[in-house]
Amino acid sequence: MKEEWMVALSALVDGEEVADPALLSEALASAEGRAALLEFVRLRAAVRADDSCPRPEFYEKVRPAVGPARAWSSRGLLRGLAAAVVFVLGTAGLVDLGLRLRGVKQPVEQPPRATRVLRFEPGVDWQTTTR
Amino acid sequence: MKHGLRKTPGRGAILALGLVSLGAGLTQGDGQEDLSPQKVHLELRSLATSASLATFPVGSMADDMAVGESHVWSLTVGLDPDAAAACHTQVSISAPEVLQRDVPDWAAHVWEARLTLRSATLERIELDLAWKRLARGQDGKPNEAAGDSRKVTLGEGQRRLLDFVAVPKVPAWQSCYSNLALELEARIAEDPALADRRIGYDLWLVEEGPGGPSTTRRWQVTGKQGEAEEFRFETLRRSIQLSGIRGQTPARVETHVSGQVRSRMTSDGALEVAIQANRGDSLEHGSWSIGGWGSKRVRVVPGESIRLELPSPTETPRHPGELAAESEADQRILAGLRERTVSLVLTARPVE
Repeated sequence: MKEEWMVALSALVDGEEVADPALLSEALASAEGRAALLEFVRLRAAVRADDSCPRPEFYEKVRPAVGPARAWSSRGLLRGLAAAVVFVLGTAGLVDLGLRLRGVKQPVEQPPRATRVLRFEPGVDWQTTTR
Repeated sequence: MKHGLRKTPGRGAILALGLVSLGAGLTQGDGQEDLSPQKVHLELRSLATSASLATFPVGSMADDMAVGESHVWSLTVGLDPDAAAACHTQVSISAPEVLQRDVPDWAAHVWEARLTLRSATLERIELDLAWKRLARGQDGKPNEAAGDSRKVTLGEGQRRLLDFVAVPKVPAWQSCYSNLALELEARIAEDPALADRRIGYDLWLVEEGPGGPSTTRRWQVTGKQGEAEEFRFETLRRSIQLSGIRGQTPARVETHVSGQVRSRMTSDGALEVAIQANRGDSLEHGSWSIGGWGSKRVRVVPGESIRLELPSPTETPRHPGELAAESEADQRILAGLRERTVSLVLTARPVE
């Protein structure tokens, strides 16, 4: 798996600009690229579902090291996790297994709420046949 | 007694229904007449079926037309007198202002067609169409051998066969061709300013109602402006209880949903969307199937989500000698299908 593919996939999942769409296309065309994309999506879902945060003491200890202007963001965290996926990609499914073992519930995707409902009228714009 | 006594194959029927719907569904009236008028690209094409090979196009003429415009075209079809032995076809196409009125001695015949574009919107092209086939008489003068005049409605990219004729009983001809035909194809001529736009579709299939959790399927694709994209969802399966009916086990029912979606951005930034949907319900082991199809054309705001409810079947096929318990089971299955709605939720938006 090319590292550039991982970068392109990561940007895609983050909703950021994909610098080289051709690389993304190449990544999505490969089975391992698609597998990596799925892992990224699962990670994002896991991060969203995980509302735990470090205790205040943790921030006190790390603030001198990261400086006052820097702050943790979910995006940064996701990037970090994405890098971790690169590292463990050889053991595909491990992350998923880990999430299952931890009992992390995957959020179920739902269709968007429709602003209009269109109905077919049998015999007018809906034809039927039976066999 | 169990379901499965009747022999009509359900899956085959669903396939056949799908084919029928592609031909007919898109031209059904849907009451949406406020869509943008479009230019149309018309192509009048001559086809020849080889004596021993396939059918090929041998010549055509095409042009873009605006609503209200008329064209008169003629095609003279015959064997090239200089290469008849090699079965070379010659098709002479006249400029509109110089119609071919005579039938040359090398020609099988001359086709003449008058096309008038009455209206053209997304997935609906209405034409006045008149054509005739002129053959060369014994005296060398042309006479009208066949013809027709009618209003026709075509979906985008659809074709209509206008004339079909066996080749003249001339040895040179019959050794080359079995028949000749004339067909018309109509498609929307894309606005060059918008032709390269891409449109993303996010389509959900939702089955919901009392008696169980909702089931969803999702299909996402990005297509070009005006291009049709076909979808086919994974089959929905569920059991319908038939308790109380003697000898009946729960019925396993399958619902198949497929169709196509096509849309265009308009110059004012809106999207015009045509969606054609097919729904087929059948028993898992195929003793009957019921199909339905329809189409809608709507104007939406980019990113707006619309829901289309696909009607449940209202009756099952009957057959002579049907047992009362079978009939009761069918009614129970229909009621079970009606309890739950099957809908499509579509969101279309331009892709930058």
